[in-house]
This record gives sequence, C-alpha cells and structure tokens, in this order.
Amino acid sequence: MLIFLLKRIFLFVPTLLLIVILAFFLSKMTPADPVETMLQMQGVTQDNNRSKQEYARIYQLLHLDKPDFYFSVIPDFYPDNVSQIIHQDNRHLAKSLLKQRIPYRSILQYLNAKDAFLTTAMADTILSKTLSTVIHKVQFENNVDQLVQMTKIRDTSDLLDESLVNAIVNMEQSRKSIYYPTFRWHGLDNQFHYWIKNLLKGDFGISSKDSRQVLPKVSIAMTWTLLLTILSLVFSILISVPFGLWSGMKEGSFFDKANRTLWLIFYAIPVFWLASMLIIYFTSDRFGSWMHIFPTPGLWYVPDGQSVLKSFFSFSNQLILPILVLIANDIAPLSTLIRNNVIEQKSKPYVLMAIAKGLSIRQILYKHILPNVMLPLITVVGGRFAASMSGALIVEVIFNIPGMGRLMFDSIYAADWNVVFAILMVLAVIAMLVLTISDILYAWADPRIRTKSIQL
Amino acid sequence: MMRPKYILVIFLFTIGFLSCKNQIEITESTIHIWLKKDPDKLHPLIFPNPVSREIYQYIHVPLADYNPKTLALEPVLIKEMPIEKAIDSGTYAGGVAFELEFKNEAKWDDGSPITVKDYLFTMKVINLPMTDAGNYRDFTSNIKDIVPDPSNDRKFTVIFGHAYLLSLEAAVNIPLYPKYIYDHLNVLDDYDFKDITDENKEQLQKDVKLVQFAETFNSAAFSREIVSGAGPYKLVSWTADQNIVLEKKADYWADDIDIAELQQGPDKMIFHIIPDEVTAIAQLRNGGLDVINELSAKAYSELENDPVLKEKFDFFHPALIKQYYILLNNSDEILKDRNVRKALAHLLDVNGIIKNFEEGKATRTTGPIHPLKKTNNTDLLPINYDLDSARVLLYNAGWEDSNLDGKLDKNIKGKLINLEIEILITGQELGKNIALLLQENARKVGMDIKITEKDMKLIRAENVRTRKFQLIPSILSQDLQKWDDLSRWVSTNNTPDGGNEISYSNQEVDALINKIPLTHDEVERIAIYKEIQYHIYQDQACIFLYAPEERMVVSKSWKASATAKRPGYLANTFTFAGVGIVK
Repeated sequence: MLIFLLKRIFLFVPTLLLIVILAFFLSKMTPADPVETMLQMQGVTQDNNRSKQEYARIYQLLHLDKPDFYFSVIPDFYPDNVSQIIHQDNRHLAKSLLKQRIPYRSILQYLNAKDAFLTTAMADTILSKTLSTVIHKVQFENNVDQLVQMTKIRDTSDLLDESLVNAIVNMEQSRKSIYYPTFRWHGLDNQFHYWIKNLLKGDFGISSKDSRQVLPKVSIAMTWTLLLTILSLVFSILISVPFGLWSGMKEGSFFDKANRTLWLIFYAIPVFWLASMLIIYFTSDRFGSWMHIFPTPGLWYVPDGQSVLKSFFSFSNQLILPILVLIANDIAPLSTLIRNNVIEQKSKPYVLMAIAKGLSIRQILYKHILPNVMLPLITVVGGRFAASMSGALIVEVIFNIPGMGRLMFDSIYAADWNVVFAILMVLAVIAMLVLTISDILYAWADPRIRTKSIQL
Repeated sequence: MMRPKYILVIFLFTIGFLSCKNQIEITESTIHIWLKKDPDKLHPLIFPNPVSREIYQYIHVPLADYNPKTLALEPVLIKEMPIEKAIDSGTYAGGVAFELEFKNEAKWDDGSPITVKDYLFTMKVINLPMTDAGNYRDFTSNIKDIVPDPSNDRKFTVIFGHAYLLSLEAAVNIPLYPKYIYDHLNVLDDYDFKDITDENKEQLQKDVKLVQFAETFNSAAFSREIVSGAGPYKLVSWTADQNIVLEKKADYWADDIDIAELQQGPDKMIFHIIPDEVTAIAQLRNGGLDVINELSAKAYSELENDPVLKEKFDFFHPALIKQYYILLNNSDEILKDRNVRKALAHLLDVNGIIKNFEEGKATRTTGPIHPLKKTNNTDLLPINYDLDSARVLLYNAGWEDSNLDGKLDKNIKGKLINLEIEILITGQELGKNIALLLQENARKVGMDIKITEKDMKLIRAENVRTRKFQLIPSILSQDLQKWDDLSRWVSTNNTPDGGNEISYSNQEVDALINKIPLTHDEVERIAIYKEIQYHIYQDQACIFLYAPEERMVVSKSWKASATAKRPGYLANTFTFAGVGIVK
C-alpha cells in the first residue's frame, strides 16, 4: 500500500507539469489577445489616438514580446521570435506571410516599405477615391499573389512607390519551395520561464481583471465549490444507496419501476431549466404563498451585528436549492449502479446462504450485500466528485454562488490566464487526490485488492 | 443501518427547518441594488467601466458633470463653468485657456480643502505613461500647462496648446483624486506637470521611484481597498462576487448644495452581485432588491404587466445613449455598391423589431448621432421595410434573376455569381433574431443570407481587423458630450487598428469632419454635423437601427427618478417614500 501511495505521489509532479504546459500552449492558441482585453477594460478603444502606444506598453509589460518557450522547432526561414514585432497588425501580417513561405528578411523589407508608403500617402487629410482603394489594398491584403497582381495594374502601380513595388516583387521571388525544420534555443528569457519561475516561488501572479493576487482569489472560490460539491455528494449517497438497494432487491416491482422512472426524469431535465423553474415556482408568492417553500438564493450579505448562528442559517438555507439541483442529477446514475449491483449480488451463493439461514431481507441487504456493492460506488463517487468540482458552473451562475466554475468562466472570457492556470492546477490536484483516496478506500473495502498490492 | 424512510424524513426535516424563508433585514435607511457582475475595480481613471461606474459615481466626482435632467455639462466641484479664452501671445499663443476655481466648501474626508494640488496630482497621474489611465491620457495630453493662482490655492488656469474639440471636457470632466491618499509619500511633487509628457517617456520609464508609484497606483490596493473621492458616499466593504456596501459620509461638505451628484439619500447602499436575471427578479419580488436595471425586454414587460407588482414597483424606461446598427463593409466586392447597401436597409422591418424584441421601447435612428442630441439631423427619415424598393435597387445594381432559378445573379468577370451575403453574429439573442429576419426577407427578393455564429473576439481578430466581413450587427456606444467625435468616419482611419471599421470613404465627409474643430460658431457647427449625417445616410454606410431604452424597476418604497445618463439612475437622489412593498 505504501509503495502504491508513493508511486501515486511521484506521478503527481509530472502530471501537473504536463497539464500546466498543455494549458499554457492552449492559451497561446486562443484568438483573444490579452492586451486588447486589458485595453478594453481600461476604456482604451480603437478610436483612442493613443491605442497603439498603450498596446505596446502592456504588450511588453506582459512579456509577450519574448519567445513562448525555451526552444522551438520551426522552418529554417522563420525568425527566432516573431512575437518581438510589437505592432499588432504587422505581427499578424508577418505570421501570415511566413505561412506563405516568404523568408523573414523579405517580410521585414516589405513591412518597412509598406509603413513608409502609408505614412506618405496618408499625410493628406483628404484622399482621392483611387488612392483610398490603393491604401486599402496595401493595408489589408496579406496574400502575396494578390499584392503582386496589384503591382501589375497600371492605375494602381502608378500610385505605389518604387521601394514598395520592389519589396513585393522580392517577396514573390524569394518564396521558399524547399525548407527544413530547425531547432532554436531561446534560453531562459521566455514567457513560460517567467511564469513558471514565479509559480515555483508560490507566486501565481495577479489577476489581469481586478489586479488581485490569484491564490486568495481562487481559494475563496474553491471554498464555495467544495462546500457545494461535498454537501451534494453526501446527500446524493444518502438518498441513492437505500433507494438503489431496495430497488435492486425488489427488481421489477412497482417500487423499482417508479424509483427508476422518477430519478431518470430528474436526470433528463437540463440543470439550468430545473434551477430556473425551482426559483420561479418555489421562491416567491407569485403562484400562491403555499408555493413559497424555499428562500430566494443569491444574497450573501451579512448585516453588521448579525449573529454567527443567524448568518449560518441564512447562508445554509440558500444552499438547499442548488444542492437539490445537483443531487437531482446525481441520484439516477448512483442508484442505478447500486440497483444493478444488487441484482448481480443477490443470486450469489453467500446471499442464498443468508436466506437459507433465515436472515431478514434488511439484514441481508445492509450486512451482506451493501459491503459488496460499495466497491464500484467508491470509484464512481470519486470520479463524480472531481467532475462536480469543475462542472458546477451553471448552478453557480443561476444561484449566484461565487465558486470556481463561475470564476473559471469569467477568467477565460477575460483572457485572465493567471487565474485560469491556477484553477486548472487546483482542479488537477483535487482530482488526483480524490482518485488516490478512492483507490485507498477501494483497497480498504476489498481485502483482495489489499493483498494483491502487498504481493506486488 | 437506518431505514430509507427515516433518512428521507430527516432530509425533509432538514429542508423544512432551514427553509424558514428568512431574508436579510431591510430598513428604510438601506437601499438594495442589483449588479449583474462584480465591478472588478473602483478606480475611474484606470477602469472607466460601466458596471464600475454604477458604484464609483457616488465616491469619485469630477469637477463638472452632465446634469441628469438637462444632460448639459454643469459644475460639481467648481464654482462655475469656465469660458474658453483664446491665447493670442506668449509661449502658448494659438492655444486656449480655462480659468477654474473649486467651491469654497469643497473638502476631502480628512477635512482638508480641495485645491489645485489635487488637480495637478490627478493630471500628472493621468499623463504618467506607466499608469493604466490611457483612456484619459488621450485627452489630457493636449493640456500644456496648469498655472495655479498665487493668491488662491483653489483657483488655477488650464492651458491647451491648440483649440481642441473636447478641451472643456478634458479639463473638467475628470474624476478628481485626493493627493493625500493616492500619493501620501508626495512622490509626484518632485516632478513638474510639464515634464510628464510623451517626449520624456523613456526617461520617466527608467525612474524607479515613478515606476514603483505607477505600480502601486495601478494595484488592487487602490482599486479595491483604498477607494476615496469627494463624492457623498464612502466604500465600507466589498466581498468579491457577492456584495459592495457604500455608506453616507458623516458631516458631508455638500449638504446644502443642490447638485444631484453631491446629494445624500439612503444611509447605506448595498449592491448585490447576481449574474442571473431570473434570480435577481425572484429577489425583487421578495423584497430582497429595491432597484434592478438593464432588464431584458421580455422580463421587463412581464413585470410591468403584472397587476400585483404594479402596486409595489415603479417602472422606468429612459433613453439610453447608445444605438444598434449593422456594420456594412463598404470595401466588400458586393457591398461597395450603394444600391445594395440601401436594398439591405429596406429588407429590415425595424419597427417590427422594436415592437417584438424591445416591447416598443426604442427610437429609430438614421445616423451616427443619438436622437437625444442637438446635433442629430431630424430631417432624415428612417428607411422603411419595403421589398419592392429593395428589388428595384438591386436591379439598378445589376442583380437580376437571369437564369430564372429564383435567385438574383450577376455576371462578374465572366462568371455568373448568385447574390449571397454573410452576416456574422455572436451568441447574442438580438443579433441572432435580426439576422434571421434579414435572412427571411432577403429570400423573398432572391438574395441568400448566410448566418455565421462566432465569438466576438474571433470576429474582431479574423474579420474586422482584416476587413474580411460583409455584415455584423453591433452596438454604437456614445457619450453625453456635446460634440461627438466622428473620427471613425474619416477615410484615413480605415486602418486595421483604426476606428473606421467599415472602410467608409467619402471626401466630402472627410472635409466636413476636418472642418468641425475650426468652426467656432455653434449654429454653424451643428449644421456641419447634420450635413455629415446626411452624407452617411445617403451613402447608407451602415444600417442604423434604433436607440434602445433602459429598463429599470424601482420599489415604491423609494421616490425615484430616471435619467438618460448611465446607468439610468442616481440612487443618492432617491428618498424613502415609506409606502409600497411590505418587507
């Protein structure tokens, strides 16, 4: 058992690292530009004359001008680091031209010629229709063939300056037909290193959304989600175990059929709909005061001087509906699992022996069958716990619970990657811990597994 | 092991015990307001976000602000509105100056008077390139000097290097920060206002003292913990994603001054952060909330038509300074023809959209200026839903059903092309509905509309910045300022990062927009604005739809009023009515 545990713990670190690296590169692939998101939050729009300067400032502040990782494997005509182009549109254009197999040197020549042309051409405050069209083409066209085509049309090419035409022709002529992959070492001055270095010091950084330290922010959210998940699982087990046991024991009876149908109906109802219906019908006097059974969720305010006990009850009664919604979704799979296992167990010789001994059904169920059906339940509950931690989003939004699901959703939307990475790591650690614990419980519940692991 | 029925009984008992419907205690001194999301920061200079504004407007006040009733810029912290004076000689010849003086009573929370030092500090902090105040820097960088009056530390002159359209707003519509709190170490005292400029950017960025100051100023400490201004309320607590509590300041200096922004109403304001509308409405019904705004049209109409609720709540729908429109890419091969753009406008039944999706609460628009503004050209008539006119316009553009397959086509470069247009939408319900309506009507005239749903960030990155789009429903947000900035309609701003996202180009419009700052006569300037709208209307650069209205419900316990100024109300002006909802 000790070796098994050590092995599990030993696997924690590489698994976490893998998750972190994967998440880091996935974040790089998202279309959202974190700088644009931050500028938007600061009220700097495209109409702002200083938007380029502000973009450059934040871009460098976030180290986005550095390479992504310690090394890269790229085609031989690529630059070491295309992210060093701070100007957003030139960077996108360079990336697009690189994909068209244009060597970086030719791209730089083109970018310089293009900027020089645009500065001169747009110096005039009122542009003629033809010049406007040419400027538009130069600004937005990123296809080399189309650019070359433009230089061949007389009306257009007359308005272009010589260096720009030369740069376009040069791009076409220098286009690579054969290229090789190359390995580039970027050293420690890269984005991932800056982040992981702070992480190893225990610094998860600050949230780009509200400038708060990430760790306390995630911890508060985690408390809510843990509370919700644990409570819902406890109630799910408390309800599904007896229902599953009796349903299995009375297979085919009215109770069995009614039990399965009822929980399946709850399971089939979409969570957001069930949650909204419960709020609409059971939290106000709108449909009669007798329907007003539950407190309206969503207010977590503690007035000054309110006693701890009163606060506890006002908070805990608001958790009833979210827990009900979560367990409504959990009971069907859990009770079905138990029921099916009971059906399988009840024809086993030890049950027949117990019946022959004259034990009551309740004794057979709880003393003999239950320990045996607990084994698959432990695995399933472990898995559901980990899944519930990350899957409580809808419930958290509708019932206004400031948990991790809501935080994760808001952070992804705001490209607040420091928070997203921290949540991913917390979820990964919790998932690994829960699965390890369920393995231990499994071994504890089944002596055969214990013996097997000792023998190993 | 317990029997299942016992467990069930215990479970039901627990529910029954805990479900005693106890709500928070509500008194007449406290108002409960709905917030859709956490405001993240309460720091107007670096975070001028509309949600944040709903709260910081009671804490931070500017020197002058837009009157919630008249919508005109009026004094708040200053004695009177300054008059623009042209500078004819000296260092700043060609520039303009404004003389300002703070009210004698104006003071900070520690009792110290509000002086020119606070104004200088606020302006320095904005212009410091390392702070996140980039939004304001665009305006204040035009200020060349701030000259204190040697005999009166409440009086000073703000000098602009040249006549600038929004110079008055740049000088006075800035939230004033108390220097003694935000720069208690007097770091910025060592630097002259004139030295904190773009020209000295590199030098300033190397100054460790300034870098550290900027980091602190941008930090959560000054955005969430220490939040202080000259407004009538102070921040008491902020529980992230749950609630924010503001409290009336004791012995407030503006008690006897009749200015909306400085009024004190409820003793306490509690903003409850509830992302889900259904939950918020349930709270409103049960008396947990007194104010909810930005309601969906459907929910608002349902509440408004509920006879029980009518007795408990007041319903407001003031105009909103924004409008919905459809971006048309004027450089697109098909849409560069004005006739096609006009035909598209005729295909939309905007009145029907207002009736069905806004419950009739909106005003039609015909151009980029909001209908509430003086500069709006009221002579322009909204384009009607008219399929026949659309057909004629498309025919004039060369689109006809030549092969009689029921679809319009045109021979372009030797190829017969069917008329197909793509509309890009996000997940927003309204955009989706508008796209579907357009698709249905377009089919009637033989045009195919393809609807593509994408994330807004993706649309911006892949389509707008590259001008690879045809139609995008969007929102045109506007401010209350008297003179709208129309630079997004100038052809030189048709750059990937420029505001002219639709590649609109009209030499006459360019010339007129350039003429605005040089025209000082108000009547003449208004005429220019109207002429610009006329050209944009004639070109059908975009399809202007309508300006929606705010949808707000307030408990009758409070005597409330609404305004077109965001967020549609000022809770500090509410007084307890003592009637209405029984709590």
